[in-house]
Amino acid sequence: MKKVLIVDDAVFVRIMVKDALKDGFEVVGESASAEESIEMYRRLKPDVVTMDISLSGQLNGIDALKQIKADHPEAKVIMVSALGDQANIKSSIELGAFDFIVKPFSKEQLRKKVEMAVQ
Amino acid sequence: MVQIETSLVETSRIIANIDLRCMTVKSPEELPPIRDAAHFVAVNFTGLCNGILTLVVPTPVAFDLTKRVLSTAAGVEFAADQIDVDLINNTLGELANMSAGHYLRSNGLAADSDLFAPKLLTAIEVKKQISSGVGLMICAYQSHVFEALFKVA
Repeated sequence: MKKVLIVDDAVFVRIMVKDALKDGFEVVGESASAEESIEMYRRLKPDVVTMDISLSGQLNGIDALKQIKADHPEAKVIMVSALGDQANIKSSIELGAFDFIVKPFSKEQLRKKVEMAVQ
Repeated sequence: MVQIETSLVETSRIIANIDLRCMTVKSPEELPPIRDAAHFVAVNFTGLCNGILTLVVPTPVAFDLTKRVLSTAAGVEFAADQIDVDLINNTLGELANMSAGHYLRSNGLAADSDLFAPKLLTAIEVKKQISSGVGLMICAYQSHVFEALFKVA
């Protein structure tokens, strides 16, 4: 079963993501901060990360993406944001994000992106 | 003036099927008093749509709203001791954030906009933001009715 790490500072969003992936995926970790997610990636080696941009702590999701990709170039990170503005999408893709999904999202939309990432 | 009714209603239905109706668009001078509000959640925009989104919610309503959002998302009932102020602020902030994002995308304003993380503001800070002349969007939850106020700068 493919392993997923969910990074979002909103509890209910983490619940929604986990629910969308309950069949066929194993959620190995959840985090509300960029700093913790970087450490969790090193420790858990998930197949996919869903990464919010606005996070608690000093760093944001793009900072975490940058660090994770620097340490693990093979990492598959799907960025999740409430607003798909061009600056964030451009930065994310340039830093190696697998894809970008805009909140509010449907469970089907999210699941499809995660399935594509692990193929 | 730009109305935001659609985005708030649609987002609330997506998240929690909250009984939420938006009322008329008003000018900042007609804003409800904020001295009794327990929570201020603000989202700042830059770009085509300059503004502030502030959610003004009395504590009991904030608690109930958060409980319903979480319970709907999880499919289980949350206990009272599982819901603290940080969780309430975070949940309502995310709701406001998603509503704002949905509104901007729906109206073709997202491309040149930038959304920052919701942050808590004191009443004084909110007044300062309003008086600084930037656009303003206020949602006040009163008696199961949201009043949406939005002004493009």
